[in-house]
Parts: sequence; structure tokens; C-alpha cells
Amino acid sequence: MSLATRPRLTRLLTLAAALAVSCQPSPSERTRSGEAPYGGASSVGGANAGASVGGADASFGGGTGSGTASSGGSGSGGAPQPVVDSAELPLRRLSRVQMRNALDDAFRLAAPAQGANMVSAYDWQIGFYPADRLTNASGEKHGGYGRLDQSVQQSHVDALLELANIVSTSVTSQPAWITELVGACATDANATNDVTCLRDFVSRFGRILLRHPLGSTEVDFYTSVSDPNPNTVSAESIGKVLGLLILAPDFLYFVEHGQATALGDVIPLTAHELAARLSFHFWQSGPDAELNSLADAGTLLDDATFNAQVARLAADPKAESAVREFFGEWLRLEELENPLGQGGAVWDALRGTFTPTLDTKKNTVAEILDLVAYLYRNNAKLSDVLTSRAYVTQANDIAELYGQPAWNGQGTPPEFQDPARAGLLTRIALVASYSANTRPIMKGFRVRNALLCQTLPPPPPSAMNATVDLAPDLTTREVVERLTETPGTACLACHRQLNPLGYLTENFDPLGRTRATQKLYDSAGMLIAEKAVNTQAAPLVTPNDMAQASSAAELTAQIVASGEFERCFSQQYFRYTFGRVDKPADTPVLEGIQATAVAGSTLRELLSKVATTTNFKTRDFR
Amino acid sequence: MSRSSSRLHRRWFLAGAGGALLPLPLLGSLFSPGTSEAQALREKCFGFFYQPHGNAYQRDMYPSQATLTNTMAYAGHTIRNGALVGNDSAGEMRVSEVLRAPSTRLSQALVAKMNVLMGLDVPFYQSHNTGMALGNFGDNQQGIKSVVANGRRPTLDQILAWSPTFYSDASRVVNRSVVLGDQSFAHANPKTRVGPIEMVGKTAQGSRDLFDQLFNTTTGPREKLLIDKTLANYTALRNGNQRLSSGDKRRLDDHIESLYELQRKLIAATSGTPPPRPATNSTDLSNKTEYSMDPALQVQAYQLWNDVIVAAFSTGTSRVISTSIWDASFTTYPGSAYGGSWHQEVAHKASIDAAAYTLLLTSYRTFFADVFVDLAKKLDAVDRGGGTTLLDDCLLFWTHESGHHTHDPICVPVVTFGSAAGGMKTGQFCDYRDLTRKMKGGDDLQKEDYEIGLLWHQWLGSVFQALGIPKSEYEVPAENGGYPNFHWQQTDYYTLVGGEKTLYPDSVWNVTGEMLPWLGP
Repeated sequence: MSLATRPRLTRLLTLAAALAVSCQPSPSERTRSGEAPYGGASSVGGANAGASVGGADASFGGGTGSGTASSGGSGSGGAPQPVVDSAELPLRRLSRVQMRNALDDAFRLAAPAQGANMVSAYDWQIGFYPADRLTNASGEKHGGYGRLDQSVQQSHVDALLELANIVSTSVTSQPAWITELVGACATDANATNDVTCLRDFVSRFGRILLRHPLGSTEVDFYTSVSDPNPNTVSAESIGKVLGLLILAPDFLYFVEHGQATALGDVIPLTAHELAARLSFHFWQSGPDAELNSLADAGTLLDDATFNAQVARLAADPKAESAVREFFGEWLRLEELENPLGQGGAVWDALRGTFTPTLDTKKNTVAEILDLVAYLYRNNAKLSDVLTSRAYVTQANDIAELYGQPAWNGQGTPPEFQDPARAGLLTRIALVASYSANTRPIMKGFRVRNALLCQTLPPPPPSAMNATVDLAPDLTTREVVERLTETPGTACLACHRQLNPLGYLTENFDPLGRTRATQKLYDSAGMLIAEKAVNTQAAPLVTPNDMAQASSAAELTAQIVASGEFERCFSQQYFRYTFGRVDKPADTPVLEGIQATAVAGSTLRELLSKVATTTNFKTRDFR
Repeated sequence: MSRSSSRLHRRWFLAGAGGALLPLPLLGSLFSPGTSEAQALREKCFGFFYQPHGNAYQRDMYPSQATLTNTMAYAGHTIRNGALVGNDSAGEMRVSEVLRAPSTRLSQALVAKMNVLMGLDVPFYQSHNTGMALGNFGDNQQGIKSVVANGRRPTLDQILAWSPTFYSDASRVVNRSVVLGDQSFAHANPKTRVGPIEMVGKTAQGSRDLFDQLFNTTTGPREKLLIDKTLANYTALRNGNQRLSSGDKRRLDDHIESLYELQRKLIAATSGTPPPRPATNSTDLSNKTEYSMDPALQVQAYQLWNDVIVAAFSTGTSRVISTSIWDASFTTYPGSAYGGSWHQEVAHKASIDAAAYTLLLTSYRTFFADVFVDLAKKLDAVDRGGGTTLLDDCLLFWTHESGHHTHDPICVPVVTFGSAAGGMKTGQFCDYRDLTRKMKGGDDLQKEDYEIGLLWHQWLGSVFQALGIPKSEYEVPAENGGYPNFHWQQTDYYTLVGGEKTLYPDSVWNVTGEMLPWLGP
């Protein structure tokens, strides 16, 4: 018997004993005597939270665990409560996206003809399962990921029961679906095959959903909820079995025991555990048939086989889902303003004939996600994310802002026609504020914090009402300079590190359209002047780099040359992969990823690099 | 019509934006109101309502300072209070510029069941935060590093939800707390208060979805069987001999605890006759394209939620609710000259821009008049016998993210309805500020300084006391009184006029465990 297929004997024995378990007091009772109207959008700050001007003595910091928020005070604090556990995650759970994909793919895999219809039948219920909260490292604003939200509150447990109910009821609602999912034995007139029929189904479907082969005791357990009459494979019986499988700990959590015979605290994963990690890492879903087969045979533990599987999974189009999610969350693209519903005379004058639609924000985000997916698909380098001029938008509203017909999605996308579009920093999502004014400070903050992983102290409270207004005789840059860069003020220390990064893209208007001048309006929307925009600045990509730049292209070149983007990526991708904040002991892994990126590796190679680290293939049980 | 005859019996209360009266089952009276024993037995309810930003000028948020006719020396300074009186004129009852509503809805009798509290502070910069108002100081943006690191606490509503005192009999409780916003935090195991402190997700997407959860008619033996078996499955994993880390086991314990709670809820959900299901779901309204720009539609949606809250409180299926309000609600924003985001163009500019402030004020006024008072009135229409109403047994608490200057938790407003079954005196306007200790804070339009008052810890401790929760369940006296246990203040941000740095002296910290003056029964 290989390690990979060794049954979970001790647990199965316990399960067997538990077959008759009924309602008992809870552990604590045993040991003690005793968008919608509400919610959703109430959190404020969002993409704008750092936009207010302010000042403090500051220098930006980068690297693992950097944080420069200043504070003073007296007295004692409360008991420390970690924002995010920086140790190995205990019993990591699937994200909502992963759970949904795993469930959907299980039905598609088990019922190739009708699986998609089954998924459609219950899909609406997924929305009732709590969404994952983008969770930051303490004190940081960008780089928060849904995967770092490891909370399992009562609402999760309640919702999972509801989901299990709906799914199991839905997929057993049609005899044809039952026939394909369970087998003809489930709907034929022969009652003598029913017990075997149900057990076979549990073995087969449970193998997919729970990500390991089920032993006979486990099959006994899951079939124990079937109808009292063992000779009946009713829809109700199948539904109960399905419900119990969906509620199983092995579905919601990455249940990892490590290889049974290994010694020490850091234990190599079993083949099935490794298959699950690989699959959810690259595909956001459970293992496919090939991966399962290699896990069952135990050969996935061979380095050559493992590496070949890493390459296969990384090259599969399904990997683009995780790539899109990672970059979208890293850049917090969902926090972009929605241009729909903006109003006012100046806004109307500014937008001219451009009319945002219900989909404009979605299309703005989609362009970035489509770009990274395209680059990933075509084996591009990490730096290409910054420098690529591929014109990938297929949406007419975004194309209108670019002044270039939308790409038809066929073949290789063209490049931007506008030479000012120098790459990521000049795409609509990065330059548009979708209001009547540009936001140089916010643009700078995004580059400094999100793309370079450098932090600044928060602005002082006195700065909160000092917003950057349009002026009839000054460009936005000039307003910002007067407000935040007066020599001798406390504001200057931080804003000299923020503003220049934003000034360099002031040749794009608030909707992201190229401009050479800024149109100045009165409050009635009447054009009263135009002034040339000034994009000359010293972006201070690193603290000692005083080089000037005058365009996004030059800024991009400085960032690429600095290696800061690669350093930032390594930190962010580590967090996304492992669902936790990096700790000092992780530095070698981070440096390894960074070195691979700086050496010009492709995105695919970078993602694969993470999967081949010791951290990925082992688990720390301390 | 007499006051008593105008009330709906508790089984016939569910009338709101949804239209028709919805009958609810009569619950047996557990007590005879009027005795001290009865007060102790009366089931209390708690509702929390939160709007982001703050920045409501003091001169608009609060009643006239002239009504503060009483003074008291307390915690080293003079505090003031007076009777809360509404001015009924032209069909409108006005307590302050913000606190006003049609007098058909906000009667003088209802004003007598309100409190308005002024001068309650969190003693450090908080910026935008989630959960501060309920005692979690550690979840904020741009906040102080040590507060972020050390200030995370479960929120008051979640402590109530798992309090053996508050829910001494949980047999009818389907949801210990209804969370409709992002202000609630609890330990991974809220019952034992073990594990990391996490945000508690929303209970329901829509008002009727919540109703279905609370009065579920579909729960049957199948669900109970599945939960029993799932408990066995988790227990087998937890107690098996295969390798697990201590963290794994703790997570499994937490999950098992949640399954037991779910098991308990399923039994509770099937007790009694459920009331008729509302015809309209709030999402029927909020999913409309025009919703975000239609204040009337928003009010209707919130009133649908109110109906279900009343149903929950009345039947005891839940007695704790925590909500937060979308920040651009109740206005036809964008209306500012330059467009842009509510956050930037309205909330941040409200103290320097009259048009922005008007929008902000409209949002607060509308919430008060059409949502908060609507709920209070509906609760007050439910007869609890002995001349008391369901509202009397509740404590509804409305506050803002910040005080009269956005981002700053100095003088954060508190508006309440209900006496928590006699646990808190009502009909008062209390000002706990020390008017001799000021910080400059005048903006172009607002021109209102900061005055240091008493601590938020004391207010939350007072809420616990009013609700009858013993201190052993929420207080760590070695640290400080009240809630949360977080004895910390910032000395480098705020400077009083005259240069004094120490803002909150021991005399203020030392009373945090007391009921706020004038509120005790």
C-alpha cells in the first residue's frame, strides 16, 4: 500500500463509531457550567481613503513587514490580537471562489452531459454564502486578498447547510440527471442493485468532491443517511448523501495530515494533499482526472512527475482564473469609482459626448484582467505587465476613451495607436478617476503602495477636509502643489513621495483620455481657460534615485530598472498563494521568487516557482 | 382614540411599507410587568445603527445648549443635562436640526423615550474604521499602528449574542444576532471567545431572506439528520489519531461549536407558528437600477427591514441587530458642482462646502425620520402588557463613524430609543464635555472646536449595564472599566489650547466602569 492510498484508518474507526452519534451537548457546554440597503457599501475609504492630503515626517519603506505609521501614546494596550496570523495557516479553508468551482466542476466531471444544467439549477444559492473579505496585512492598504480571509463564522456554517440543501435538491430534481450522475441503476426497475448503486456513487463522487479515495467505512458513513429502506435509491436518499458530502470537513477545508511515516514538525504532504494544493493553486478548483490518477498511484510524489504536473497545470487555460483574481485583488480594481451616476455641470462638460454605461466600470476592470490573462496565456514576462502596449479592450465605451476601435478578440491584439499609452500605468483603470478632476495624489499612492509595496504614514486628521478642488486658473497639479508642497510644511515629507508619481500621468484627463492641456471650467461648466499640463517630476522610485522623468514611459522604465516591482510581486504573490502574510522566515522564498522575476522569467514560470518550493510541498504542524 | 387603544396587539403589529398587516403568533407572557422580578425577566433587545463619516455639525446634531439646565461635577469637570423636549410645529416634531420627523410619527411621547448624548470620545485617531462604535478599535484604515495591533476586540453586539445572561433562555432564538452591515466582530469561537477576532458576515441579503431565516418553514428532519451526521464527521476528524496541529484542532473545535449552534437553531426555528411571509423583499427594491439615486425607494427598503426586525424582536427569534448604512443613502447625489465621489466630494468637504454639507445633513435627517423613528414607532406599537411596549424593552443606538469632524472620534453622537426594560433612563439630553478643555478645530464653514469629554468605554459599559449584563462578561477591571479593555490614549496628535498634552486624566479613566451619569435607573 502506498503512502498516497493509505486509508485514513484511525479516523475511519472513529467515524464508524460515530455512525450512531446523535445530538450531544456542545464542547463548551460539556466543560462549563453554565448593496442592498444594509451592509455592503458602508465601509468607506476604499480607493479614496489615502487621497486626502496631509503631512508628517516620513520616509517610505518597503520589504517584508515594513510599516512606518507613527504613533505616540501612553498606557498599556490590550492583549495583542493578530490581524492576520503570520504562521502556517491552521486548517485552511477554500475561498468562496474555490468552493464554487470545486462544486461545479465535480458535477461537470461526474455528469459531463447534464452537469452544466445541474450547476445552473443551484447557482443562485452561491450568492448567499458569505463573500470573502479582501484582507490586508496589518497597516497596509493594497494587496489584500480574499484568500487571506480565513474566517469561518456561524454565517458560513449556516449558509453551507443551506447550500448543501439547495444543491442536493436541485441536482436530484430530474430523473435524467440522477441517471447520469448516479447511474442507470438508480432509476431502473431493479431494486436489488440499489445498495451497490448508491455505494458506487458515493465512492465515485466522494472521490472527486473530497479529494481522496473513500474507504469502505467512509462509504458506509455517507450512505448511512439514505432512506430507511436500503433497497431504495430515491432522489431523497441521493440528496441526503450529496448534502452530507458537501458538509464534510474534507470539502470545506484543506484537511492535511502529511505523510504518515514522516517525522518532525515540518512534514511532506501526501500525494492527495499535494494534488489538492496544486489544483487549487493554479485552477482555483479541485484536481482533474489526471491529477487524481497520479495521486492515487502515489507517483505525484516523484519530483519529475510533480514538475511535469506543475507545468501542465500552469499551461492550462484554467490557470488564468487565478491570475485574474490575483492581479485584480492586488490592484484593488473593484474599488475604482463608478462613472455611472456622476453628475454636475463640470462633469457633463468634461465628458462631452462620452456617456458611461452600466458596464463601464466593469469594462475598465476587465481590460486589466484581460491583459494579464493574455500575457499569461502567451508566456509573457512579469515586467510585460508593466510595459505591454497590447490593446486588449473589446468594450466600445473603453475604446471610445482610448480613441481606438475596440479589439475584435481575434488573433493577436494590436498595440495602442497613441504613443502616450506606455503600459499599465497609462491604462484607463490606472489613470481615470471617473470624476471631474484627476487625482494625482491617489495615483501616486497606488503606484507607491500597490506596485512598489512601499508604505507611508497615514495623513493627519487635520488634512481630511483639505481636498483638491478644481480651480478656474490653476491646473490640478498646481492646486496640489500649493496645498501640499509648500516648503517648510509637514505635508511635504510624504507628498514629495506621492505627488510626482501622479504628476507623471497628468497628461490623461479624469476619464483617462490623453490630453496636452487641462481645460478649466467654472462651476456652471463653461470653459474659461486651458493650461498646459506639466508631467515633469522626480518620482523617487527608490529613496536615493533622484532621476527626473517626464512621462509614464520613463517612470515605467525606472520602475523596471529598480527591481521594486519584482520585489513587490514576490511578496504579494506569496501572500496570495499561501493565504497568509509573509514572516521573516519566508525571506528566502521571497528572494527566490524575486530573483526569478528579475532574471526575466515568464509569469508561468514564476507561478510554477512558488509551487515547487518546500513551503508548498510541506506543512508545518507546530 | 386613547393611546392604549391605538396600539396594535403584538400579534398584529407587522405593518409597514409592505402594506397589509401581518399577523404574528401570540407569545405567552413570561412576567407580570411592574415588579422588579418582572423587570429582570423581561427579554431585552438591542439594535445598533451606524452611518459612516460623521461630520454633522454640533449645532445641527444636538438640541439647543439652552436646554441643558442641570449641572454636575463629575470625573474632574462639570457635565450638564436637561430634559429632551421636541418642538411640535407645523406637523413636524423637532428635537434638533437633524433629529426631526413628522409629528404623526415622532410624538412627544416617543421623544420621551429618546436620549441624545454628547461628549463621548475615543481617545485616539481612528480615521475610517469598522466596529469602533461597538468596541473594536483595531480595524481601521490609516490608524495608529499600536491600536491596529492591540485594539481588536469582539464587538458589543457579539458579546450580547453569546452572553448566557442576555440569552438565558435561547430556546426560541434562531439567530443570536442579525448582522446587516460590516461593524460586527467576534472570535472564531464566539461562545468560548477563543481564536482570532474576525468580521462577522452579513446574516441576509434581503429583508425577506432574513425573515425566511428567522421563521423558516422549510427546516425539517433532513436538515437535522445532516447536521447530526456532520457533527459526527467533524468530531471523528477532530478526535482521530491522524496528525493535526493544535491550530487545526482549534479550528475544528470552532466549527463543531458552530454546528452545535446550528443544531440548536434548527430546533428553535421549528417552534411556534411562523408569521406570514412578507410579500416584498428589500432586494426587490435595491436591485432596481434607479435605487442608488432614489431616496424614496431606499426608505421603503429600509422600512421593509424594520418590519422584519420588529418581527424578530417581538417573537424573540433574535434580539440583537447590528446594521450599517450605505454612505450615500437618502440623497439624490451627485449634486455637488464638480461631481465625484461621496467620500471625497461630500463627506470630506462638508465642513467647508455648504452644498456638500446639505447633502450630508439630508442623509442623516432622512435616516432619522424615515428609518430610525419608523422602527421606534413600530416597536412602540407592540404591546408588552402593563402599559409597556416592545420599544420600552429595547435599546436602539444610532451613531456615526466620527464626531463633528470626519475621521476624528471626538464627540461622537449617540441617539437612543428605549429604556432596555428600565435599565436606562430616557428623555434626556446629556452633555459630558469639559467645556474648559478645548482643541482648535474650526474649518471654513463649520468653525466648531473640539471639547474633551468622557470615554466611549464608559458608554459601551453603560449599554451593557442597561441590558443587565454582569461586568464579569465584558469588563477587565485591571485594565479599565467599561468596554473595551483598552487603556490607551494618544498624546501626540491632539493638543489642547494652551499646549496641554494629556487629554484624559485618571479622573476620567477611573469612572469608565460606572453607568454614565443620569442614565442609571
